[in-house]
Amino acid sequence: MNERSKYGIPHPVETACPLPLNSMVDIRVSELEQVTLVEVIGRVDSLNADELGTSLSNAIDEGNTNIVLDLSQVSYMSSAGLRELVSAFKKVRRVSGDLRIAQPSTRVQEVLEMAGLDTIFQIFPTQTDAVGSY
Amino acid sequence: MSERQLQIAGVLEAVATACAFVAEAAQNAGLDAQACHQCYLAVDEACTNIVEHGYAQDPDSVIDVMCQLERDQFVITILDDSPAFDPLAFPDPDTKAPLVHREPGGWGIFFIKKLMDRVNYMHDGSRNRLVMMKQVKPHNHHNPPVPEMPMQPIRVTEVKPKVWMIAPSGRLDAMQSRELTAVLWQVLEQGHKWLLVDMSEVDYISSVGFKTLVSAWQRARDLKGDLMLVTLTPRVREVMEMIGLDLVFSIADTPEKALARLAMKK
Repeated sequence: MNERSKYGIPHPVETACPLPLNSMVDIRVSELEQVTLVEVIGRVDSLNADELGTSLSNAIDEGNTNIVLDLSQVSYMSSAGLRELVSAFKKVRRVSGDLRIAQPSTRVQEVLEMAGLDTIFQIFPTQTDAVGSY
Repeated sequence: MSERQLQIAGVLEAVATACAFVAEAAQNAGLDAQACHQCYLAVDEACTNIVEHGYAQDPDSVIDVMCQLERDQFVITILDDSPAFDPLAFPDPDTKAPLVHREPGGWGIFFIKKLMDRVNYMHDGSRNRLVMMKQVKPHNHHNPPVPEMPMQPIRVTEVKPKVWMIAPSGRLDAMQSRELTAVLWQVLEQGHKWLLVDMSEVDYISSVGFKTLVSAWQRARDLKGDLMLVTLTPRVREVMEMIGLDLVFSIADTPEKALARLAMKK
């Protein structure tokens, strides 16, 4: 019996990733006076992008069409996340609303620029600026 | 760097595993943090496409991912058994189009081409083979990855009554992580559940290192305690943010702040 087994210490398992990274996103929707604020915290990828899409879609369906999407705490976003942003943006524009982005993190800014979406969305440096723009 | 290989199931739940595997290999190959993130994103897009369009989420399907350093090129190869599909023949979306002409999707392949320096595709008779290359920039050669390091001591101290500080140092790779696992579990088995891991001397952490920290953190939580990380180096913080672990752990800038937060919890 080796040292480790004797102490009941588990051997580290060689895996490429320490955690299932599925529900690593937290989406907080709050109703302000004129504006619906959607704050996204964590990572948005193909596994959970639909959570973001559903949150935005529900807000629009409920008649909240002045939306501020705070992306300051998004550590990672793949094209799956952009897909939801564009779908929601199209949907809200059809009902004469708007979806404005506040303080995108560096990683988000990079993908927005890569897709040429930085010229499509109105992007504000702070949440306050974005909320105040309505 | 020798060739590294990983096989994942062809389902979305497994894609992040392949991404983290490649990002770690990229870091070992000497790519900087932004390039590692770009490799991560490219692999995410490639594998997501295979799962969604090639395999239609068939749980019995597999994707093979290989990484290799060829001179100054970090080479990622992705193999799958879905019907032959040349992603490079797929038209690029128009990044200048107004909103009405924008399709919501179709960005993945375009991103891969933008993120990587070279991308090749071939169908080798039975499998799709996508080869993506990222150049390791010359300035990184001054700081090559260290293949073998002597074992670093792990300091264990009781910094406050019932609060134990564990301070690993150097590279938390598979070898070092085994030692850290042993130390953490010994401390936990002695009934101590309030742990601080001082990360100030850790300049590299592999996925095994993260696994070690996560396991110990889970154990501490099971014991109604906590494990906090203290003073992360920028490089380690960057990797943690990349895989979202910064949202899992409590992280404090200084031991004093960590102790203050633990005092509130205890």
